[in-house]
Order: sequence, then C-alpha cells, then structure tokens
Amino acid sequence: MRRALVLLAALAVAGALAVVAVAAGDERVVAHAVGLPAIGPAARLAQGEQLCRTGIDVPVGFERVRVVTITGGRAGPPLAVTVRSRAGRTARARIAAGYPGGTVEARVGAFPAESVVSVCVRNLGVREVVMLGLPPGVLLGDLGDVNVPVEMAVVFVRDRPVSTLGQVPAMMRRAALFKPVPAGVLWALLALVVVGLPALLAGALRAAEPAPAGGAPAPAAAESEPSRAEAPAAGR
Amino acid sequence: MRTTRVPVPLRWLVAAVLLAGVSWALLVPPWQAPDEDAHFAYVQTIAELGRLPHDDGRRALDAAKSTEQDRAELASGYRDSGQRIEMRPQWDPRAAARWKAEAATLPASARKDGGGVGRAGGNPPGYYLYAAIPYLAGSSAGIFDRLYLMRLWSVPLLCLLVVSGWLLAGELVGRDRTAQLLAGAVCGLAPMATFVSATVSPDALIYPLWGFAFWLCARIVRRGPARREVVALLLLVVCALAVKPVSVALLPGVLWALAWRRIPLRAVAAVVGLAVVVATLAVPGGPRRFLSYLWQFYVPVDAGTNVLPQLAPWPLRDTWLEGTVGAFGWLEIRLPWWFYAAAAAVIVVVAVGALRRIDLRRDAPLLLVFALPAFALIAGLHLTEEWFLVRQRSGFTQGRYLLPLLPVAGAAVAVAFAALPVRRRAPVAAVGLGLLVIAQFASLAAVAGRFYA
Repeated sequence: MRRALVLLAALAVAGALAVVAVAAGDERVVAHAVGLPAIGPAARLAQGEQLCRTGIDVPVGFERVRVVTITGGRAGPPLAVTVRSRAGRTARARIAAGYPGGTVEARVGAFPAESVVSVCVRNLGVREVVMLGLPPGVLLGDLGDVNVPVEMAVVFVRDRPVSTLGQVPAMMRRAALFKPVPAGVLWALLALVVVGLPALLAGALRAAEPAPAGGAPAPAAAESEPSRAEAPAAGR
Repeated sequence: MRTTRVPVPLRWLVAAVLLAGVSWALLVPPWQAPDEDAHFAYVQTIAELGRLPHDDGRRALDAAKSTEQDRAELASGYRDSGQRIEMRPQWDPRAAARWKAEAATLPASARKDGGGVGRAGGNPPGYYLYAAIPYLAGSSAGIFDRLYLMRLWSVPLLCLLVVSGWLLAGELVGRDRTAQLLAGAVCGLAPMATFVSATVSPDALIYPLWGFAFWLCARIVRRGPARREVVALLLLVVCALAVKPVSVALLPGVLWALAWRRIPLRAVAAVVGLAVVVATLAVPGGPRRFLSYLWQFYVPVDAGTNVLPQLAPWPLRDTWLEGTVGAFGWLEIRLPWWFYAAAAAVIVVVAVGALRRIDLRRDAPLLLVFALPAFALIAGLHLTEEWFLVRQRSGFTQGRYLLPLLPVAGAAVAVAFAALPVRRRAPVAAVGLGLLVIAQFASLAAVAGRFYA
C-alpha cells in the first residue's frame, strides 16, 4: 500500500510540475484586445479617411497595437496609427504600404497599465482598406438578431512576451473580480487543490484497499443484503 | 433500527470531489459555461416573478434576461468574451468598481423585467426550482454573489453523482471498496463532469438522477423488485423528466428492469430494430441523408471535407471524445491532442477489461439496463441533430450530453478493476486516481490560462 500511495503522490507531483512547466513556456504577447474575432467590416477607409475606437480601458501595459484589415488581395495602403491616452500621452506610428491584408502592427511606445485610450487609423495611401471588427457587447450567438454597429478590432501587444507562470499573481487578482471571494481565498484554494486533492484521494485509497497481509480483497458479495432472487451479475 | 454508516473511503472521496467542485465553481468567470446565462435567467424568473418563463410578446432577445443581468454581463466582459478564445473577460478593477456603483443605482424592477423564453425556456423547471433556493437565500446580495451561490449549491449534486457511481459499482462488483472508489472518482473527477456540475446547469442534477436510477435498475434486476426500490426508481424517473426531457431515454432501461423476466430478448431486439427502421424513415431529410450524416459523424474518411459544415471535422473525436473528456468554457477551451489520445486509450483499456468479464448469456438482462438508455440517448441525440441540420441548418450535439452515462463508465472501471490480481490492485488504483488528479490539474490550468492570462 505504501508503494501505491507513493505512486499516487508521484503522479500528482508530476502533474503539478508539468502544469508549471507548460505555464513557464506559455509566453504571451497580447496584453488586451477588443473586437475579436474580427469578422465584420467596421469601415471602408478611402484615401485620407480615418476610423477611431475610443474609451478603451487597457488594464495591462503595452507597446504595440494591431488592427485587422482586408485589402482585396492587393498590397495594402500605408496607415497612420494614433494612440491617445486620457492621461495626455499621444503616440503615432506608421504601417508601411505593401502588406497583404490581415493583421498589421504598429509600434507606438510604452503605455502604462490601466490607461484609457483611443486608437485611430488613417489611410495614408490611395487604395481603399477595410478595417474589421465586431459589434461590442453582443454575444456571438446573438449577432444575427441585433443592429449594433461593428467597431474596429484593436489588439494591444507587449514588446516582450510574459509567461503565464509569471502572471500567476495577476491572474489571481483578475480571477477575483466579479466574484464573492477575494484573491486570498483563491490562493488558498489553489494550495488546497494542489496538496489537498491528492492527499484526500490517498486517504480514500488507504481506507479502501485492504492490507496485503489480509490476503485477497473482500469477496464479491452484495453491498448490504443478500440477493432476493437468482439474477444475473456482471463481473462476478 | 439499522443505521447506514458512510464508508470511510467514500467520505474521503466526497471531500476530494467537494474541493474540486468548489475550485471549479469559483474559477470559472460569470456565465462562461454552456448556456449558464440562460439557466440563470430561468432561475431569476422563477425567483423574482414567481412563474416560469413564457413568451410575453416582446422580442425574444429583449425578454430573455433582466436588465440587471444584461448590465452585469456587459460589465463583467462576458458579452465580449463568451465563446471567443481570443478575448478575455473584464480584468480591470476599475470596471468592477464601476459595476458596484451601477448596481447600487439599479431599481428593484431591474431584476423583474426578464421572464421571456430564452435558450433554456424549453426545459422543465425541476433543476431551476432547486437553484432558486440559493438565489432567494442571497436575494439581498449582488447578482454575482447570487450566481456563485447557485454554483456552489450545484456542487453537492456532484457529490451525489459520486455516491451513485459508488453504489452502482457496489451492486456490480460487491463490497470491493477500491473498485467502488475508482468508480466514484471517475464520476466526480472526470474534468468535464466536475466543470458542468459546478455551474448553474440542469445537467448537474440530471447526472446523479441517472446514476441513482441505474443503480436501482441494477438492484431490481439482480435481486428482484422490492416495493421500496420500485417506488424510489419511479420517483427518480419522474424527477429526471422534470429536469430535462432527455431523461425519456431512461425509460427503456427502467421498463426492462421492472419487467425483464416477462420479456424475451428476441422481443427487445425486435422492438429496437423496429424503432431504428421507423426513426430512420421518419427522420427529416429522409433515411439516405440521415445515414450520410451518421457516416460523417463516425467515419473519419470525410474529415476536413465534411459536406455538413455545421459539424466538427470529425464529430466522433471532436464532439464525443473531446466534448466528453474536457471542453470547457463555452466548449472553446480544449486540451492538447495527446491528452484526448491518452484518454481514448484509457477508455479502450477499461472497455476491453470490462467486456472480458462479461458473459453475454448470463449478463444480458443486466447489460440491457444500461445499453437501452445509452442507445436511446445516443439515437435521440442523432435524430435531434439531424432535425436541427435539416430545419435550422445548425448542429446540436455536444459531448456533455453523454455524461448522464458517466456512472455506467465508472461501473465499467469497477468491473474491469475487480478482475485484477491482488498484487496489482493498489498500484493500478493509484495510477487511476493519479491520472484523475493530473486531468484536474491540467483542466483547471487550461481554464485559468484562457480567462486570466
């Protein structure tokens, strides 16, 4: 029995370590996003036209922004991307012409966490470009039943990726929002699950499996009372 | 008077499952589980308006949820992130503070202006009456407090599922505590079951009701019908029908359990065959189309070039396997492919181990207790999906719809395990429990990574 308990503990430790290893290698550059998946046209920008999305709460710091375009299979026009924060910082960046459509990225410099920003995209070229996005505040399943205008998708990106493991303290704070428990309770629960779940199962196993000295396990008798009738039984 | 003592291993197991269930309940963001928003709205209608949801002439989308729920869904980021793997729910503490201020200004009527027929409107009220208890107990609290109270109130149902799996295994393999432990652990710690049972969902109540029904059916077949058990079984079936109409699939197994001595096996085979022929002929779209659908569902030859784009590329794998083993959130969170491959291998090993212990001639009456509801459930799901494909051009089936059969899967584990030589029992049980722990860790981590990283 002791070997079995060690085996169970070893598997639990291996499982926990595997999760830690995967989390350490899971590096993420996206800090925040609005309007994804970008499946609807927010605007068709002709030469000189501009599209803005305003009042975006960005809870995490970022250095780049991405927008999603359609260029009709031709080389995309140059775009000017302007990011303004309510704190007064303004950054401009240019996306060079020639991209094939899809996601394009502009480096706008560092904006701190908890910025409220507006993002504007201006077409600096001659050819049209379509900016894609999704209606805000609408469940995917309800898209066909509402008449909410599509807003441009904007993805806020970090310069350097952050591993999921490195985000665990922040994840706990995020997980506690809109819940009746503080982050401390979630930390305690995490510890309880990692240690307690295998420990409780080990306790169950120890209580269930008869000691080897006792020989074979209990005979395959009925749970609590004898059969009232001759009847089939699987696995007897 | 005889008293029933709860076996010690079962106590430990229930404590472990309780811990896992509470963790799932508190980890998953508001409404980020299949149809949880619709189930919440149903409960709110019962609790606030004292009636069932019904069509009151308003547009369905406007009437399905209260203003309070609408606003809370927007504030928490559910509306912008549900089903969208690219998006996260609201992370910003300022948004949470804004919601608190907004919630304080909402009038009492903001809870009462839902009441329409939402996605859950077709369900009977059984589970929703149960879930209304924590809603009413927390009626003075905020909407998120009420939602999480309802989730936590569902977790004991998961423990009942464990007990049903334990009892069913005990009926099949006798007083073999380790085999029963494994059966109960499969019921309570299979990640998809833990996830669904820790949300606001009638499925949480359906699983244990089916589990206890299977247990009583097995008892009645093995020991003969005792009045107390027959009454309890019929009550369970009524309760299950009052929770979800799909429980009608239990009826063939229940009828068989009550009358198997009077029904020849040939008659059962004839009825099943006739039902298959009639269903195939009557299904919308006709038999040829239905057979084509089944072919594409189960056979991977057409994978990726499916002529039914509403289906996953290979539904046997993508819907049945992955959706049963673990597909979280609104099913958008999947684990790595090798996780499902390993799960499939374990399922095959268990199935082979259990089947090797079965003597068809001897065990047929007992097997039909499980096989008839399983067949009725799966056939019903396919017929319903074909109806949806033809009439609404959308898919229907999800892996979690098979989870009422989880106690049978647990029983199969117990039957296979009970055949092991003594020296192998403890290590095999340890490996089984260890794999469930790993599955829980991996699943919880995947959910945390999807929503909070």
